[in-house]
Parts: sequence; structure tokens; C-alpha cells
Amino acid sequence: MMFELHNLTRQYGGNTVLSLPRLSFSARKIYALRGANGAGKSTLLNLLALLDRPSAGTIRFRGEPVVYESAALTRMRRRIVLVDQNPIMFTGTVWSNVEYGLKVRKLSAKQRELRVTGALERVDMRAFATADARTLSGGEGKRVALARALALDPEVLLCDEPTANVDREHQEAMLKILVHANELNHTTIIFATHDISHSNRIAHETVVLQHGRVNTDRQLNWYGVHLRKTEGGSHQIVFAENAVLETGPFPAGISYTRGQRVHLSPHLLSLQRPGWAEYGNGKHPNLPGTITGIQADKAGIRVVVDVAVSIDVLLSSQEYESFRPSVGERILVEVPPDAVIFDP
Amino acid sequence: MILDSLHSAFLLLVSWDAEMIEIVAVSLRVSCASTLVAALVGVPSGVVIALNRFPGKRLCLTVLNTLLALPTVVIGLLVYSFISRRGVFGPLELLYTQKAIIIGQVILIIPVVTTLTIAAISRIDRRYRRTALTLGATSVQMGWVILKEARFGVMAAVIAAFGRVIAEVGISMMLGGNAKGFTRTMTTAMALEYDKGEFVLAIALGAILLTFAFSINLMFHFLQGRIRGDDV
Repeated sequence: MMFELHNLTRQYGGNTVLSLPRLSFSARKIYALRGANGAGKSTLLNLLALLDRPSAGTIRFRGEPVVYESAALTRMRRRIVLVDQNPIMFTGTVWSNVEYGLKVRKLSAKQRELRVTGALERVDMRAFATADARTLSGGEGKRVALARALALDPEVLLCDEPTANVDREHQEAMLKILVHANELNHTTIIFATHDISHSNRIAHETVVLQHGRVNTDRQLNWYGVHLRKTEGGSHQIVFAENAVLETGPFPAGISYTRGQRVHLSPHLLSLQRPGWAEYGNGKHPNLPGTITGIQADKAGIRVVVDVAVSIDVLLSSQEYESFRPSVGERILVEVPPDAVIFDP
Repeated sequence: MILDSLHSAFLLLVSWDAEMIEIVAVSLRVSCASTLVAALVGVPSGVVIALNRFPGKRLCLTVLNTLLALPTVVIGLLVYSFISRRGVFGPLELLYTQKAIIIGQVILIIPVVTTLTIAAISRIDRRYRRTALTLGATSVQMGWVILKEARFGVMAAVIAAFGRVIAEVGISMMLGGNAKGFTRTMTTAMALEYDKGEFVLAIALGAILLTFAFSINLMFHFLQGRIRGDDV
């Protein structure tokens, strides 16, 4: 394990902004931290970068507990680099900024030159080497900050919103650089993002934070629902006032009186256009909604449908090619019985 | 009479009067030495205080701010009690020497350098600190980065301290003794000439002192402008 967090809390002025009973990050993986503003993403990144200390709980890095008073903290910190959301440049040239971390590590001039050149080339900023670092635009500054981190070849690269305030072309480049660092140098990457498409595309795992806690619901199509049986004898799963799924009999032991949690398996769901059954067999209950997002990720093509709640439907490439859904399209999400899993 | 004195002072200035030059040289030597020592002590202290959290920090800042208002005669008395013949450091025979003036002036301006350095460091964006640390800097290396970023503010602190000592009179008079050619500074010479009722040298020295003060303020405002990022 790269990081193991145990009973970790961080408080500011009596307010708990992060509370993580148990969370771990494996080596050589890419993790996305998702969540709204104030969810605790940056706080968690600061703690993982060992720039902040928890109010309570422990962090283990590579199995070794982090001790904040020790001289070993700098040694440990030198294996992790955080790239800020709005990185700041030291006074001097782009070159001297990228060289800084290498200088404090007392690398030879020859090694420094090789590493700085390589890092600047990776972020396509070689031409800016002699430019005053403080005159760079926001996007350029982010790329230099990434080069400054990559030059150090860290074991862990932490990035706070790496693609925010960066144009689309360079967003792609930034994501490619992160994937490249992970694949080539086996760097563990943990990045915070608002963009679901970025997390789905490059992350091996996604941690969703909500109010300082890990939210597993959004990761897995989990929903808090109400169950009811109509006078006609049919069974309904009520996701929201206008999102009701007619279904078969519920499993034994399921309570109708209190809230229930259900999971919809994304790969068992299918899409159907209203009024015609070109795709899907049309025999299963469905939920009408609107497509709000389509992203390709490692598992296939993920279609996000808003049916009053957000449902992820996972299609294979062939299914996607034959159906060709588009964002904004009205659609039916077909839910076969085996796609519904009740929380025991 | 004033016009005559001004005319004579002007002639004294353009003739580079030897006594006047000697007085200015003593003033500059003593003030530069005390500013250098105070900077060597005050700047690192300011950086350490600004960058660290420790119990009693608020009290420390309050004491430093209070020391800014310390009257020069109080410092003169205090140092005198230590270096007079019967004082702890009496055998060192420091009283009425330039070293005695320097000691007193250092005590006077260390709080100036320290508090203004703290203010300059505190104005620096906290991201510099975090960035240096995450790039692998030790606490000392991080402090150096911050000092580099705050250099204009720190230089302004040192200049302000120099301005304070070049114009002070109490310490120079009490600890230096105003010995001609040895511990006579511009301010003590002016006080003496005033006592004698002779204004020519006093006015000439006053003009030089004002020129220094103007130059120092000019530099101070230039550096303040650089801190704010103004186009100067």
C-alpha cells in the first residue's frame, strides 16, 4: 500500500472538514478524487503531501507511520509531490523553477540539466525555459508546475484540479502526461477533479468525497429508495417523485415501511428510444430520462442518464456504435430484474 | 543672521571642510556598523518568528512592537549601566567609544528590523512555503526561498533601521561622549554647535542629514513600490 489512512480527521476551528475511518491507496495506480467544492479533496491532498497534519488518526506511507516532528519527514516528503490548483512560481526563470527541487536534492549540474530538459519537453514548454516564470499564463504556469514535479520523478504525484483553467487541447495533454508518468515511471497518481469524464477515462479507481466523507453511493449506482406495492398488486421502486420503476416481486425480508438501498448494475442496464424498440428487447421495466453525459472509460462507454437521479449505463463499443446515443436525447433506461440488487 | 549662517554653511559644504567630513564619516561608520549587526540578528529572527508557530508568539510580537517605541535615552542609560567603569563590562573599556554607540544603536534597531521583516515575510503568499516544502526543501531552505521572495520588504526594513540610527542623538551622546574626531556624529555635533550658539556647522550638517534622510526615503518608497508591484 502506498498510503493507509486510519481514523483520520481534520478539523479547522472546531469544524470537521475531513473524516475518514479507513482509506487506502495502492501503489502504481491512478486515483481520482471527486466531489463538490468543500468536499475535502484539497484537505486530503494536503494531508497526503505531508504538508498538513491530521487533527486525529494516522497516515502510513509505504507501511511506515508518518511522524511529523521527525527529521525523517523531509525524507518522506521528497518522495511525494503536490501540484497545486493555482500553482505559484518562484521569482526567476522557468528553468530555475523546474530545477529547484533537484537543487535541494543536491543533484549534479549534468543530472539537473537532463531532468529539467526532459520535464519541460514532456509538458511542451521547452521553448519557455528562459522566460520569466511569473509572466506565464495560468495554463502555462500549470504545465511548468507539472514539469517541476515530474522532474523529481516522485513515487506519488498529487494534483489538485490539474485541468482546471486549462484549454481543452492542453487538458488532453495534461491527462496524457499523467497516464504516461503512471505507465512509464509507475508513479502513483492521485488527482482531484470535478470532471467525471477525466476521472472515468484515466483513473483506475475513483474516491468520491462528500462533506469530508467517502461517498460510496455515487460510485456504484447506489440509491436510497422507497418500495411500495400498488392496489393492483404491482411492485414499485420509487427513486424520486417522478422516477418510479415497476418491477417484479421483491425478495423476501425486504421492508416496505422504511427506506431501502438498491444498486443498479451499470453493465446490465440498457437503453431504448421512446416509441420504438430498435435496441433492447423492450420487455423490461424502464425509467424515462435525458442523457447528460457520455464518456469512454476502461470498462466501455459510460452513458449518464438523468431520470431524476443520475444513472450510469455501461455499453460495449458495439452497442454504442449501433445505438449512437447523444447528449440531450430523451431515452428510456431498461432495467432487467437481475440488474437490481437490494442492500441486505 | 539666519541668511548669513545659511550662506556660510553653503560655503562650508562646497569647501569639503575637513572637520565636517570627519563628523560625517564617523556617523556613517557607526550607523552602517550598527545596521549591519542589527540586520544579521534581526532578519533571521524575523524569518524564524514569522514562519513558525510557537507558544508565546503573540506576546513576543507585542514585546517587539513595544520596543519600537523605546526612547534612546533609556537604551543609553541601560547600556551605560553595563559598560561604565563599575558595570559588568567595565573592564572592556567600551564607554565613550564608537563600539559603545554601535551597541546602543543595535539594541535600538533590532526591533525595527525584526518587526518589519516579520511584516514583509507575513505578506508573502503561503503557497511559496507549501511549494518549497513539497518540492523537497528543508525548513532552512524553505526560509531562504521566502526571504528571497520578500527581499524588497526586508531591504526596506534595513533601510528604515539605518534611517533611525543616522538621525538618533541620545545614544550617541550618552555612550559616545561627543569626543571630537572620535565619537562626534552629525547629530551630536549639531547639538553641541547649537549649545555654543554657532549655527554654521549645525546647518551644514543638518543639510547633509536631510539629504541622507531624503535619499533613504526615496529608496524606501522605491522598494515599497516594488513590493506592491507598482511600475516605478
